[in-house]
Amino acid sequence: MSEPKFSDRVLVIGGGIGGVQAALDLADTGRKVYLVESAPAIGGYMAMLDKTFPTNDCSMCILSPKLVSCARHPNVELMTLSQLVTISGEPGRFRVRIVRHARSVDLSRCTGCGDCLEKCPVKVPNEFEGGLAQRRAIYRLYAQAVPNAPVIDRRFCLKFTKDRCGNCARVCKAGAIDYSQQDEEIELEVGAVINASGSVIVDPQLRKEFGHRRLANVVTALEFERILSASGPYSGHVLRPGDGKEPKRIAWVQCFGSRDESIDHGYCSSVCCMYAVKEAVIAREHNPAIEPTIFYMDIRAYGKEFDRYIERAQKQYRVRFVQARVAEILEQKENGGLIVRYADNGGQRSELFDLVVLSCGLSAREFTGMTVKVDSTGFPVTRLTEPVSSSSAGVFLAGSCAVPVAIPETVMAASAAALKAMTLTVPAAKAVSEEQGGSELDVAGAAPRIGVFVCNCGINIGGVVRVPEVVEYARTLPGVVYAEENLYSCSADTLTKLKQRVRDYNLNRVVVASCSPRTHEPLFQQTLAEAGLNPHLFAMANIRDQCSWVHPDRDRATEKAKDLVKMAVARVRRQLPLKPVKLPVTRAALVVGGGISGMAAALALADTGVDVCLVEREPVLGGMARRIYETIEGEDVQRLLAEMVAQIKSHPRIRIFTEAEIRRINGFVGSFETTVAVAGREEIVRHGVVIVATGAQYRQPDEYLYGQDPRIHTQQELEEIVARQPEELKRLDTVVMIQCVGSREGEHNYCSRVCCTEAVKNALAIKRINPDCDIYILYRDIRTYGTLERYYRQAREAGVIFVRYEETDKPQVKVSEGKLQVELLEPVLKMLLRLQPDWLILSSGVTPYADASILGQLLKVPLQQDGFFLEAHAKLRPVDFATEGVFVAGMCRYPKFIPEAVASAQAAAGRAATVLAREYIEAEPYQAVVNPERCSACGMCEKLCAYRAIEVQVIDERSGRRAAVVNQAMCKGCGACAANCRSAAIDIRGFVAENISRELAALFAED
Amino acid sequence: MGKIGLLPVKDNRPIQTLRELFVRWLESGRVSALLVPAVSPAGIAAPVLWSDPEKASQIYPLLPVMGINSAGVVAEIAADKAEGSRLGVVLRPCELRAVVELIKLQQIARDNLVLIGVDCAGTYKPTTLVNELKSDAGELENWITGFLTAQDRYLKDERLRRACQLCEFPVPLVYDVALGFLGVNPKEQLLIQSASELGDMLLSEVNISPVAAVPAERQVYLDHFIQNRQEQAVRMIADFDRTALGPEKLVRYFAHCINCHNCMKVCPVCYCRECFFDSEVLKRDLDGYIRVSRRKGLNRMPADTLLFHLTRMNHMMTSCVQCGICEDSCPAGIGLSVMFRKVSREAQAAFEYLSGRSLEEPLPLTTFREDEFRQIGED
Repeated sequence: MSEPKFSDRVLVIGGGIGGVQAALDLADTGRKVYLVESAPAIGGYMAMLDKTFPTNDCSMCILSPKLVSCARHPNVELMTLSQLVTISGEPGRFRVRIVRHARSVDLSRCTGCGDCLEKCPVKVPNEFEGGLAQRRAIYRLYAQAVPNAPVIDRRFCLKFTKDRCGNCARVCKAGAIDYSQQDEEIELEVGAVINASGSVIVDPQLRKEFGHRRLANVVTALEFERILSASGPYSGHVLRPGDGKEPKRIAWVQCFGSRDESIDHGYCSSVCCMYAVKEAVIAREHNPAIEPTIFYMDIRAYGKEFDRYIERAQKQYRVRFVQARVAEILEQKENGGLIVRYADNGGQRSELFDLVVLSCGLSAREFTGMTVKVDSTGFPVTRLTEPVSSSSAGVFLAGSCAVPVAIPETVMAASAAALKAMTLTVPAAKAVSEEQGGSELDVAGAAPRIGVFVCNCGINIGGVVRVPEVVEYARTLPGVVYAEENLYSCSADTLTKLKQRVRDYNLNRVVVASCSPRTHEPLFQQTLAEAGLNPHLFAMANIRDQCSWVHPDRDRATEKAKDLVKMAVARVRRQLPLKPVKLPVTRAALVVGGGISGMAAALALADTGVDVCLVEREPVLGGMARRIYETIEGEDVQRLLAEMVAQIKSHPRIRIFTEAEIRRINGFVGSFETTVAVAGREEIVRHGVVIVATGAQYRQPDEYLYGQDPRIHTQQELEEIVARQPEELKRLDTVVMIQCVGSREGEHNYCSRVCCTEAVKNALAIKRINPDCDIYILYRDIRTYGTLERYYRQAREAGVIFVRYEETDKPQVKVSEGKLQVELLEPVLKMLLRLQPDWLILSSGVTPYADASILGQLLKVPLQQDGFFLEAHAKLRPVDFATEGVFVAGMCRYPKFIPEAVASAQAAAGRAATVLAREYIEAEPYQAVVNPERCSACGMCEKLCAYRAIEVQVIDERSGRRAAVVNQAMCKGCGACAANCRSAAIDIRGFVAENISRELAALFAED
Repeated sequence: MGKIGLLPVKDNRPIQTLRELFVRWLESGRVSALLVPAVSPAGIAAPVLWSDPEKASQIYPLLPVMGINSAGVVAEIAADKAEGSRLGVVLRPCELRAVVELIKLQQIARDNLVLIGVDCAGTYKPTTLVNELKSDAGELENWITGFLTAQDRYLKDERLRRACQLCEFPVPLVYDVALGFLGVNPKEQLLIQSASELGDMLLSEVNISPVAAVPAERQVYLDHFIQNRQEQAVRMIADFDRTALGPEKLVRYFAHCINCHNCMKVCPVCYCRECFFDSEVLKRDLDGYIRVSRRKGLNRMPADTLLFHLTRMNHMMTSCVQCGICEDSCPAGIGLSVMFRKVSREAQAAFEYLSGRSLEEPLPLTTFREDEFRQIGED
């Protein structure tokens, strides 16, 4: 047999959120992923954050499930403490060499109990906590680290430095400590490489005058995240490191190491404005006495819901914003107070603070082991329509290794990179049989025979709870036929023993009393399945986290452990076997919208071998890009567009409907049926996923005399003149541009993201054609984020004059004696600026299409308050809708530049591919079930269901009787419906009310 | 949309005037039948489903007697959308509010109905008015007319149902047509208003004198009325607080419950097909009951009555319209009306919600707002 042409393997470098997302997407499509991370655990920067903006979600809470699924995924091989050495070969067939450093702990034996950590005598500064706390020489990167096994830091471990101690090996009951481990180099074959190595936080020592490390109460923003974190050095109390006192006045210094040519970091780091505001808000939530001040240059709140977040920070949390550049920070020796010296409109000032946070920017990380072309910023060069492809074929870029970005853009780039990697690889051959059908023990009607396994977890549980006593007690409980204690219930030998016990004692229900089901339930369930028992005939009692870890009193902890076991036994006694629901998948996609995003999504998916139907309501493809002639980087958009259209028209897998309209969409993930009206007839399209890419439009201004004077244009009209009648520009003496026209206020209370850059682009274009023309840009904040900052600087260097105005003091425009007049109160000099431009250019922003809501209703997907589509989660599911199988790309989610739109489209395609790769949708076994006899058809459940998985329908045509009906493909078993059903008509399989009642009754009543 | 007018009253007979008005709508086919208060020749006061104009003399709109909350009847007969019939429902403000809640809870099809709201100055239990109801038709009509024009007397009448004594909703909130007698001298005229296209159409069939706005004297009177009732509410709720606040007192407050579930059965917004508390789920076998008894030594029977009331309170408080019919039906005399007045209004206020105020306001538990209930668990 000949070898397959393509590999089924992908290398992902970096275990931060980008790498994890890319790995999961690929693994879900059947690719085998090597996830290489240099640290001892995955998680990256996101694991260090306290909360995330703009939703204030707990960072760890939303990240941790992804890390855990990465560790558990059969297609993901975690390679921690590892680094790429070299890549050779070609796309589709790379050979990569990886060096894996010794952990000195055997991952296959370690149970993560943590006994060794206590006994290590060496204390060193904890880097994860920014040096604000200490760790041992054997340590876990952070509490929820994945993998959970510790690592020995050989630089400090006495065994390695002085060949003594050995405490950890002595206390490890699992025998997992292995001092003899060696670094090793491995060679792997992969089809594609994804670099998700992230960025580097700017070194706070780059500007010594800010005093980091020298002054105890100056911290970096990342250190402050740890200060805020409940798992951080101060357990979430906002204290300052110098003296452990509660700071009252805290200052954030923005643009530390960003937008600063003098340290060769001229670009904007894109994320610091928002994280600083978030830190200020969260600090005040922790302690309302805190008075936060943010020293900034421009507030770059260019993302979805960002400006509202800033507004809330100002109004609700009293965060003070001072536009000023900080010059230096001095210390008051007597009390550790900090004098911040800065210059604002009024000149030099000094102000006293208790704590100063440096908003350190992001800089490019070096690419090790591979050759990737980078520009002067150190970030890789990419093409407009291939934003995640590096100059090195087959090497893709996910996240802030490519450009400074926040989490959602990282996640998008990761899914996009995963999609690109899919086109170079094939899914692995299917495992012979995922489950052994038929071999499962039939428990129907059989009396319960419960086995109880109580875990010592080393000394984690056994050190407090008297485990033998709990085992004895368990034997007395009704239905229990067997009980025993284990040292580690999760170790491989114990699991084998557990299977044997199930067979020897004919157990038909199992209780494990140990740790958290969040981390260990799947392991035990799988073991049950291997023993021929349905994995849902199982219950866990968490006698560690909820008992031994929190109750020091041995007697009472033992009593509580007994109660927890009693409850688990009561719950499992009547537990019924559950089967996952399998639903077929139609391997085809519908893409709605034929602009750049829709086309990019269609091409990306079609390249993975999926049939795509692209629906556009206009007669021609191209959407908003048809009005863009050149990008600020100087790329010819019309040429790119023409190439893209040609490509899409010749693609054998893409069917295009223009002048077409979606009439109806029926069905759900895996099997949709859509009616498209085109050329007076209706076509039925069958597909498994939908990508919504309906775009947005430039807003027509109704301010500043627009439409009343031919000398007043929008930026788009100016761009057309630049492209088509450049000679017109030669006769201009003065041009005034007004930014934020009708934006960031009133009904349009958000930033359109692109207008600052468009203004700078057009100003530079005018200057190229007519260098003598005076150009004034009147702005509120200049939001040329990321590497776009360089064009802002170019514009200033070219003589473009930027004048700030306040929302409360807008420019006044009038026509006087036939001349255009613009008046503005200049806020620095407090002088009235009077301009007489030849042309006035308005940046009037981007608005969503008003009829987006119609498509929203057809698809049952929501819009947010501004009329943009609302994704499932602002941070971690930026291109998913809460409704399964429906994805969003491009401007209909929020304004974007072309590369961002393409990345989001490829990301949506990548996410869609994870659905289409499956032969079946495996719906949750934990599903809502409705008892129609009890259902009153009030529809509360329908209104509450975030997944649109339950609906009141007529269930009996003859009587017209209505009741709620659950869509099994969409139900996630979250239980919101059941909790709200006052008629008690809804139950969640696996969590039925009756069993929960029995569990409670066991605790409270019937002894 | 939304007309206001005055309906002239002939011979000082507002009841007769309304009968004639309804007969006109029945005859024009605008409504197929009317659900309306009536008193039979035998003196039985109850709502009737009325379709024959010949029987108009038994109809007593504005009858200040409330034996049930008719919203429950509406849900019973008009849950599913009908093909051709349209039911006119003549309802008091609290009944209308319950209808609004039930429409939102998908228990009534709005399209079936013409909502005809009437002013209400308070009602008596049927048993309170045994003598008045037994007198002949003419005397009864006179008695009602006297009641309607009694003005301040119904603010002090302690024979009124307790829920009415603290009710601050004398006028309908959601309606197609509203008929008002408060503050307009009902011996001469009644106020008639519409609030929908359907209502406009019904008004156009009647001879009324249009007015630009609600007469000022009515508004003055309503303010006075509502203020009095609010003061009364403060007093009654203070009494309730004294006798029922705190776990021990609350247990005592419900102590005499006989577990008949009447309160649940008569509640208009208690809409489950089968009450959880009537189901088998909470039932134990004898062994189970004895186990509980052994654990406690003795156990009050019937069991779980307090759980029933607290659960019902939890389920009903966001939609409760404070009609107090639960209290009237309680054989143990538990003061449910004041309790529900306090609990439901406070719970609704927490969601900036008022039951029955509008068809558009979403039910509190179906919405999510990030800034909701920040006072709990924070600061």
